[in-house]
Amino acid sequence: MAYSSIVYLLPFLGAVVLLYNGMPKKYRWWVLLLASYIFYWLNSPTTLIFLLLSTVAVYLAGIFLNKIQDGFDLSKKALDKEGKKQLRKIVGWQKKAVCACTLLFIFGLLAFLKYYPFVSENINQLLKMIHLESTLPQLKLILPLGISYYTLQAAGYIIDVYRGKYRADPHLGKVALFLSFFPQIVEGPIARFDQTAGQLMEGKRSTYQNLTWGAQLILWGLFKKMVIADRANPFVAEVFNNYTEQSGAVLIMGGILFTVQIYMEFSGCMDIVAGSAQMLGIDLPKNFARPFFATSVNDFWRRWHITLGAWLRDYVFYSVSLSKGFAKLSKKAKEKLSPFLGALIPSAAALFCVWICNGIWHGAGWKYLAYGMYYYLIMLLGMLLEPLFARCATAMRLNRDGGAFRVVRILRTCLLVVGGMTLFRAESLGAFGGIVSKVFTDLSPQQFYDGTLLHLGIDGWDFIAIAAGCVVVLIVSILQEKGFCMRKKIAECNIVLRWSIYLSLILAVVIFGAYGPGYDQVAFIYGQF
Amino acid sequence: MEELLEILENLKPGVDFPAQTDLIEDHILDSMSVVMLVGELNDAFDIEITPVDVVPENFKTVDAIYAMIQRLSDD
Amino acid sequence: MEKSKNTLSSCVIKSVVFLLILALLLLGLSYMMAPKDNTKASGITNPNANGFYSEPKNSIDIAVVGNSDAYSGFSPMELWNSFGYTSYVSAEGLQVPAGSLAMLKRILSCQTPKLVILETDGMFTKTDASQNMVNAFNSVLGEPFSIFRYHNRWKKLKWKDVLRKPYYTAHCVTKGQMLSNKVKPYDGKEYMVETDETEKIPPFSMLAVDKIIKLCKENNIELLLLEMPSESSWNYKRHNAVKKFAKERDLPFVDLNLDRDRFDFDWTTDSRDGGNHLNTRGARKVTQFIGKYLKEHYDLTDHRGNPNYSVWHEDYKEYLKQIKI
Repeated sequence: MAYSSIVYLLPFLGAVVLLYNGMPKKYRWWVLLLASYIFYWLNSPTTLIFLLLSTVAVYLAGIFLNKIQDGFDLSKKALDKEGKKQLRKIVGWQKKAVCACTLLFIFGLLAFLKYYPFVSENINQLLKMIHLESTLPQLKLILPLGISYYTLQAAGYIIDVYRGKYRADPHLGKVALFLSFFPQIVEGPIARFDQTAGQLMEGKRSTYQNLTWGAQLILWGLFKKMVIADRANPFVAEVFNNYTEQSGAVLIMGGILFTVQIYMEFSGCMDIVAGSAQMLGIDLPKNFARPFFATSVNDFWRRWHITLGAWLRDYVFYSVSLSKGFAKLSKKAKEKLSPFLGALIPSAAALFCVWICNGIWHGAGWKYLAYGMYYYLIMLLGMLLEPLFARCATAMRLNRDGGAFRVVRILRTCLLVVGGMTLFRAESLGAFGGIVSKVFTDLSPQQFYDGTLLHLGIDGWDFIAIAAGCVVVLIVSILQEKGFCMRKKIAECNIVLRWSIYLSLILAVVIFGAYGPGYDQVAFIYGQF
Repeated sequence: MEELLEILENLKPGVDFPAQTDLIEDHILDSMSVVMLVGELNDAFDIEITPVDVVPENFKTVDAIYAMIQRLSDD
Repeated sequence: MEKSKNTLSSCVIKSVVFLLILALLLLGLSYMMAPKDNTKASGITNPNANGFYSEPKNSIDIAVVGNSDAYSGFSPMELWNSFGYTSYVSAEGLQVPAGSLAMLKRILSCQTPKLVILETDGMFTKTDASQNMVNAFNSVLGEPFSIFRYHNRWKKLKWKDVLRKPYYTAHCVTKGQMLSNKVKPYDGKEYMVETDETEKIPPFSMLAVDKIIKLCKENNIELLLLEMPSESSWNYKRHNAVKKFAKERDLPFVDLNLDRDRFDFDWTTDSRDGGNHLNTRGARKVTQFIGKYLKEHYDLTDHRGNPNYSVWHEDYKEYLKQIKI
């Protein structure tokens, strides 16, 4: 049941909204929980057990942490300063043990189900190279739906409880709903317990604005996915599946169109998902903020898949860079080398961890690791050269935030991103290498305009539709970048204009959507992680 | 407070810190700056800033940072 | 409680009016974007299946619907030549009962068949919930809201076509049959092995066939369930299931996979793809047998002497040229 399918949009979501509002307030969260488990069951029945295991694990761990903390609070009253210090140390170790074991368990499940095939294959190859007989069995494992997403949410929850940000919740249903909420389960966004759990349990009735604005957001997401992303798909598939037969020009176009496709699809899906939640009165965290207006790769990753970046920042980056070990190292570096390096070293090390995680989170393969390292190296270079750039800019009296230079920075960032996306989409690391070498050895620039591009799965009209769609999205994005809330702005217009806009958007999806005879249903790209 | 302002100005010279309303959202302090700042603050005020404290609310303005320092000193 | 400008009644009214306007726009666009002819060039889906639009009104006495087994195995030209019955095969690849229902409704807009033959293995095609919803919609509102089927014509729309009424000009010599003279034998083991088991018919298919039954009753049309010889899409379990289904509804069911000697069927010469679909030789044998069955059980008119149907004789001559057997 894909989020863009008729079955989800009309009967499923419609029924959930009706039932949710029809129930008395205190039972509304039951509707959400049931709906979420039914949704999970309809999509991936055999793996529901893993979601339940992780849910129970973090729930119990949380209760345990609460107990340890309560025990400490009780005992410390009777102790002197020295005694308190000792007890605090012991309690600290206990909590760390509980947290670590839980994380080991849930990440262990994720690691096994997701990475076992990749790891075992590589170990087998290694063993073969040194002529050892034993081979690890190649197991056929099904990846549970949303495991990459709900595991991070679960980990965030237990780490927050461990850090003392809030107490663990004694309500199993609340924890279960937080982890399984159906709009988030397939592709995120990755939320924190204190962001969504309260809202999910509150049982707020849907207002007229919730329903209409939510529906409009869903419509916008459908427009992006069906008119733009799905229309580009045949070309992207044709080019990347047969990359050895394409010229550099075609491959470049493939990279660009894939970047367009994945942005429109992922952000479109996020719109559908956020709109669905909004119809139920729930506000989910944003995952996109006009990423292609980013002036640097760092900026890009603050605007693309925001919740993943935020999760990695709060639970990997700061955990590593602010840890005691690194604090000591940084101090030494500051004294021995320079303050600049004193800050750079822990940051660079922490960033490395972040990008390894980001890479392998996306998938089990060398290509994904390379994807992470691609961005890491760009950012590291940026960090190292920053003082140099700053000095050049002042020497040349350049305003790096000024209009023309900003455009250059945006274009440069887009170029780097297209490169990264090409790696992401390529069949393998080797294929990416092949693509890059083709671009330099066989560019054939005439293929950009001699009609070759019109025979690779889509025709001229398709390109026009994609371009037109992108222009619409661009205009909306520019307005949003300036701070306008589109739905609010439109709601303030008179009824004729408002309805014209909504009807035009619906008709655009109906007429220009890439569905029906001749089109295969395109699976959600980020749903496979 | 003066010590804090001095540290901030050493970190990012030329920025009028007291006048800023959102150091995080306006990208004046990025992740790396925060790490540097935390190191400096830990040293200067003999406190221990942990990842739990590294949230936008605590680094939004100079006053917010100062309040956090006060809180952690009392613990 | 403060009075919001959005009272429940005003919200409901706004929503209903909005949906009505949307429906009207979709109807208008459907009319504008639908193909205005039934030739291949016009953009109509399955021109062969939709050729009945350009046959003279009320001239088709037998409508055959179903999937590719039907358009490969049933030969209207053979039926015409040997029995004088006029028939049209409006079958489409992977057509499911809901699709057959939609097709029948279209046929009834310009033809008055006395008999409908439904090829039955389409009943076992598995469809998911989304497809079922789409199929259900198409079988009920697919015609007026044809924009969902034809929206892709935006690329090929000709302005002069947009507002004119449909005028159908295609002429399908074979009346919907797909001719293939290829011979690819099936020489595997016997697939109709007697058993008591039945294969479950998807409930959505049964519902669609029941609606076809209802449609036929309302229009005084007889309905015959038929299964073409097909090794790859048929077995005894399916036979039992449809036999039970037909019995419960008092419908005749002819399974041509049983007692194939009755019409000299030979899997080594009569299939074009090794056991799935029939070729022209197979279609001839099968249709001759069906014709005999129809003559015995139904009261259909032999139009061979009627000058109004002289085109059918011309078409038969053309058909003979194409089959080369």
